[in-house]
Amino acid sequence: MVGRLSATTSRGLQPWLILLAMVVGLIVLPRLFSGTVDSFTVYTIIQAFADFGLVALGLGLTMVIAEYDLSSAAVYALGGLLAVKFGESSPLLGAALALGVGITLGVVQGGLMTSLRISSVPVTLGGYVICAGITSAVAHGKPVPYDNINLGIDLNRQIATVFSPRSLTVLGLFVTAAAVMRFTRVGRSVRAVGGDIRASRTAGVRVRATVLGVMVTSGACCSLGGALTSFSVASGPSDVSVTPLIFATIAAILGGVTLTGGRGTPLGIAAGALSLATLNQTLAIVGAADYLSSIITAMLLLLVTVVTAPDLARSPLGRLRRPHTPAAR
Amino acid sequence: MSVTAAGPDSTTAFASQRGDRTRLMLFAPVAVFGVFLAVAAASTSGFLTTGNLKSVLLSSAFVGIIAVGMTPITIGGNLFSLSLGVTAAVCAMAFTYFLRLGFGEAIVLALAIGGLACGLQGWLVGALGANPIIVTIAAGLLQAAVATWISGGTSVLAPKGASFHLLTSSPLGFAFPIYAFIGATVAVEIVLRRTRFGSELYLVGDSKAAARAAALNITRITTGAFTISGICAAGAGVLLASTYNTATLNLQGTYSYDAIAAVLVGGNAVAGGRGSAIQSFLGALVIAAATSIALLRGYSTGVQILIRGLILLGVVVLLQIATARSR
Amino acid sequence: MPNGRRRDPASLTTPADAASPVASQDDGVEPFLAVTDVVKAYGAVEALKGVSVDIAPGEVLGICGHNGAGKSTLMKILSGLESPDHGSLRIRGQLVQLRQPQDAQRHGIVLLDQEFSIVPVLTVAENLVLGNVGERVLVRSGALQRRARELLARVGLSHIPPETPAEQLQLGERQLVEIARLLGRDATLLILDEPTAALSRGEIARVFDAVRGVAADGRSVIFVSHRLDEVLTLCDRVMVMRDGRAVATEPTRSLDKGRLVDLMLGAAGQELPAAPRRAAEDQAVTVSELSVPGRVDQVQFAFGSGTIVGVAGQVGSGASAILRAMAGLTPDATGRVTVRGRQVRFAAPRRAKAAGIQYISNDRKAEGLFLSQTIEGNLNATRFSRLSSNGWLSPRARLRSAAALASLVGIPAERLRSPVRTLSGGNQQKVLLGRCLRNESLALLLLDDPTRGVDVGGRAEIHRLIRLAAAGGTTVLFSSTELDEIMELSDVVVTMFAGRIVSISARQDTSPERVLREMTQDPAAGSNA
Repeated sequence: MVGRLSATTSRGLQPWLILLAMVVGLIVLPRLFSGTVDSFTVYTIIQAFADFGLVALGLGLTMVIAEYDLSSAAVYALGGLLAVKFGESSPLLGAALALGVGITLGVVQGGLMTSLRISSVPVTLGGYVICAGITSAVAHGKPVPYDNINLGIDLNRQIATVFSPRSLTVLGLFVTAAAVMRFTRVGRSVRAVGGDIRASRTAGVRVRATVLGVMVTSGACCSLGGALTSFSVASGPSDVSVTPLIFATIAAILGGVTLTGGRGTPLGIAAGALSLATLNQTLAIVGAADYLSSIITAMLLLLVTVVTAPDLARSPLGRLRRPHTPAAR
Repeated sequence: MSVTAAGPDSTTAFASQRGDRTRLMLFAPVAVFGVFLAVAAASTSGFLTTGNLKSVLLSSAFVGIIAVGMTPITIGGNLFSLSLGVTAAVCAMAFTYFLRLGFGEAIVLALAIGGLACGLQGWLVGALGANPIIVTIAAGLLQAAVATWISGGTSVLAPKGASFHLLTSSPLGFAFPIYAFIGATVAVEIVLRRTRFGSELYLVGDSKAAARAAALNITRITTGAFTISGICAAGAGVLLASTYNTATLNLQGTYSYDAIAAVLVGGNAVAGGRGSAIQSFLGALVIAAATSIALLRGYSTGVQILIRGLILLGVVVLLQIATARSR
Repeated sequence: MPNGRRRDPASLTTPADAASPVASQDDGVEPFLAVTDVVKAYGAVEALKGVSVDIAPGEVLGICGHNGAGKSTLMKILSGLESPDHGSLRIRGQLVQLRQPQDAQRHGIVLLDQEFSIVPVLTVAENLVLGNVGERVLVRSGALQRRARELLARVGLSHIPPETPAEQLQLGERQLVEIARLLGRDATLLILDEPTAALSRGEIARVFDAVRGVAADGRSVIFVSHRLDEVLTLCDRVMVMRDGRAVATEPTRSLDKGRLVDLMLGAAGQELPAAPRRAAEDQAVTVSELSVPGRVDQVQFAFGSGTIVGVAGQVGSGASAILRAMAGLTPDATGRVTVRGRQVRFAAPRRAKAAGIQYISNDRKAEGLFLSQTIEGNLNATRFSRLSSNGWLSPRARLRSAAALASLVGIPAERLRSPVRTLSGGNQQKVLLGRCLRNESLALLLLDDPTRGVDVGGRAEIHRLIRLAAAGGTTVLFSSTELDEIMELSDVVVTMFAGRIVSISARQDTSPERVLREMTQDPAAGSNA
C-alpha cells in the first residue's frame, strides 16, 4: 500500500519540488556571481508570473484534456489590443470586450472540435492565424498607446511588498480554477476526458460539453491575461509574439501536466509558472545572456518531455491512451 | 495526447464500392473553392498580369519549399513541426558564414545542419514517442539560442566578394527560387511515391499500431521524414540568405506557421496516411494567390493574414465534412 | 421492492442448486422482464430467430451458448443498444421501447460492457460515480468517500482505499470497480457479459457474492458466460442459446455440464472428414515456460513445420495473449520461444519478423489493415524492402507483386487500386493473409481469430489459404472460439482455459464435445458431473 501511494504523491509533488529547486537556485546562485536578491526580486518574479500566468492556465487546461490550444498566444495579443483600444473611457468595458472575444473564439473552436470531431491542432492553428490577422488589422502595424497610465500604475502597485492587484487577480483566478477542478463534478469530467475519452463516453460523461467548456475557459483566460498585461504597460501589441505560448507550455509541463492527458492541476500549473519566472529572473540576475537562458529553458523542456515520453521503456503504458488496444483473449 | 493522433474516431466501414463517389465528395469543396478563387482573381485588376503572377510564384516559393519538406512529417502521422522557420533562418546564417569555405561547401554544410537538427527531433518523436509539437517548439527555441550565441547576436554577413551564382539568377525570366520550389516539390514527391521509405511512411501515418504489428521500422521512418523537412528548410534558408544578402534570425518571419497553413490548405490530412507534396505545392500557391488578391485590392496586412486564417479554417472544416460523409 | 421471493441470507454462500428454486410463471408472480419472440437480423444474417424468456425479480439467469448463438445481440437489445425487428419487451407487464442506452438505464437496466470504462487517471472513488446521472455539481469529499467505501465493500474490495488511483489496480480489480459502479446506479436488472474472463479465483468469488447480494435485494441479474462451472454455481436458471434460438431454459438443479455441452452443441456433433495429414518430425517451433503476467501461465509446446495448430479458448483463456507474445508485441512476456532453432526475443515485432514470424491481429481495423490505403498497398505492406532495390520502388514491381498475391487469395485484380475499406470483412481478412503468402522465409504464421466477422464463404477461402501456407512448410498457429473451425482446420488441437493449456491432442484423438468441455471448465476445479 505504501508503494502504491508513493507514485501518485511523487507526481503531485513534482511541480512543488521544481519550484523549491528554483527558489534555492535563486537564493544560492546570485551569491556566486555577486548579484543581489531582495524583496523587489520576488515582486518582479511574481509580476512576470502575472504576465503569462493566465495563458499557462488556459493552455494547461487544454493539455489536461489531451488537446493543445495553438491560438492562445494570439488570443492573448488580441485581448490586450482590444482592451487598450476600446477601453480608453472605461477599462472595464475594454476588459469585457477582450473577455467576450476570448469566449467567442473558445466557443467557435470548441464547437468545431466537438461537432466535427476535428483535433484541436488544425482548428486552433486557424484561430491563431485569424486572431493574428485581426490584431494586425486593428493595430494598423503600430503598438496602440493607452492614455490611462494611472490604471497601469494602480494595477502594479505593490501590495504586501511582493504582490500587486494584477498578480493577486491572476492568483485569485488560479485558486478559483483549482477549486472548480477539485470540488466540482466538472473537474472530474475534465480529468476523465483527458485520461481516457473513450471510457468516459462509455461511462456516460458529457464529453462534448466538457471539451467545449475547456476551450472557452482557455480563450477567456488568455484574452483576460492579455488585457491585464496591456493595461499595466499602457500599450496594446501590434502583432502576435509566440513567447507566451512557449512560456505557457513549459510552465504547464513543469507544473505536472502530462501530454497524455488527465493529469495536472491549476495550482501545479501556477507552481510551474512561478518556477519558470524564478528561473528566468535568476539567470537575469547572474548576468546570463538571453540565449543562455533560452538554452537552459529549452533543455529543461526537452528533458521533461523525454522523461515522460510514452515509448521510453517500450512499456505497455504507451498503449493506454491511443491507439485502441485490441481485446486479447 | 490526441494531438499525436488527430482525426475522427474510427467509423464503421461497410462493404460497398464507392471509391469513385468518395473522390468526388472530397474534391467538391476544393472545386467550389477553386471557382471562388478564380472569380476573385479574374475580378481583381492587376492580378492576371505576367509580372504579378511571377511575383506570386516567387512569394510562394520560400514558404512552399518549407511546406513541401514538412509534408512527410504530416503524412507520417506526426502532425507538424512548429519551428521549421527557425531552422531556415539558422541555416541561412550557417550558409552565409560558411561561404568563406566555398560556395558548394557552404550549401552542403547548411543542408547538413538542417537535416541533422531536424533528424534529431525526428528520432525523439519516433523512438521515444515524444510529442512532436512540444519537441519542435523546444528545438526551435534551442536552435535560435545556439545561433544567437554563435553569431554573437549580430547578423551574419557574407564574406567580401562572395557570389551567389545561380541562386540569384533568373533563368528564362523566372527567379531561381521558383525553380527550387518546383524542384523540391518534384524531389519530395518522387521520394514519397517511388521509394520504399515513402511507401512505408504512408503506412506509419495511417495506423501506427498496424505498422508496429507489421514490423515496420517506425523510428527510422520518422527520423527520415523529419530529416527531409530539415533539408528543405535549410534549402529555403540558403535561398533567403542569397536573396537578402545578410542573415539573421528575423529571416524566419512567419514561415513556420505559414508552411503549416500551406500543408493544410493543400488538403493534406492532419491525421496522416494520405497526402502529397504536390498538394502542399498547390496549398502554398493558393495562399500566395489569395494574399496577392487581397494586396491588390488594398487590404491591409492584417486583413491579408485574416483571410489566410479563414481559408485555412474553411478548408480544414470542409475537408473534414467531406471525409466524414464519404465513409 | 422485493416480493416474497426474498432469499435467505444464509444461502448466500451455498450453490444455487441447493437453495429453493426460483421459477417464473408457475407461481403467478409477475416477471420483471418479459422477452417475447424477439427477432433481429443484420442484413441477411439472422442473429435472433424468435427468443422468449422471462426474468423474475431477484433471479439470477445464466445464458450460455456458443459463438454465433445470438447472446451478444440479445444483450444489446436488452440494454438499448439495438432495437428488435419483431417481438416485444415488457417490464413489469408494461410494454417498453428501448431505443437507446439511456432508456434502458431509466428502466433500471444496466450492462457491464466487455470494454472497460474505468479511467485510470481518476481515483477509485471518482470512477465509482463517473457518468452517474443526477450527481451533484459540488463534490462532497466525505460523502463521496463514504459511498465509495460502501460500494467497494459490496464487491469485496474494502481493502482498497477509495483514494487509490485506478491505474494502480489490477485488471480484475478494475472489473470489480465497474461492477460496483453499476450497483451504485441502483439497477433493477444487471446484465453481466463475460464478467469473469479477466478475474482470478478470489475475484470471481467476490463477484459471486456481489451478485448474490444484489439478487437478495430483489434485483435481477443476467449472467452471460461460457464458464459452465460458474454458471451452474451462481445461477438459478440457465437459458441455452443456439443458432439464434433459446433451445432450453431450465433450473440449474436439473442440469449438469454434460447436458449443457450437448445443448450448446446440438445434434450437430457430426463427423468431419479427416483429411490425412502427414506428421512433421522436426521441432520447427518450440515454446517453453511462456508466461504473460495476468494472462498466460507457464505454457509449453513444440510443433513441426507444416503443422496447423488450432488453439481453442474463450475470452480470458490466454490464447490470443500467447500469439501476441510470440509475435513480439508483449514486452513483459517471459519464457523462451525458438523458431527453426533460433531463439526469438520478446522485445520487438521486427525481431520476430527477422526470425520468420508473421502475425495477424484479431482486430484487423485497429491493428492489421491500413484503412486509408489501397488494397495493393495493404497486400504489399510487409514486403516493400523485398520489392525495392537500393531504396527505389517501382510502381510496376508493386503492382506485379500485388497482382500475384491478389490472384492467390481470390481478389479481382481490378480492385487493387480501391481503398481496402471498401472490402467485406472476409476479403479484408484475405488481404491480411495475402500479405503473409509467397514468402519462403515464413517459418511461423500466427493468426488470432482469422475468421472473426467473416461469413461462411469467406471462411472456406481463408481456410484454403491457411492450408496453402502450411503446405509450404510454414507452421501455423491459429486461435479460435469456433469449434467447427478448430475441428476442420487443425492438425493438432490445443485447448486453453484461464491462461493454462488444458490439453494438446491430434485432431483425430479429440472431439467437439471434448474441446468444448475443456474450453469451458477449469481443469483444477475437478470433475463434478
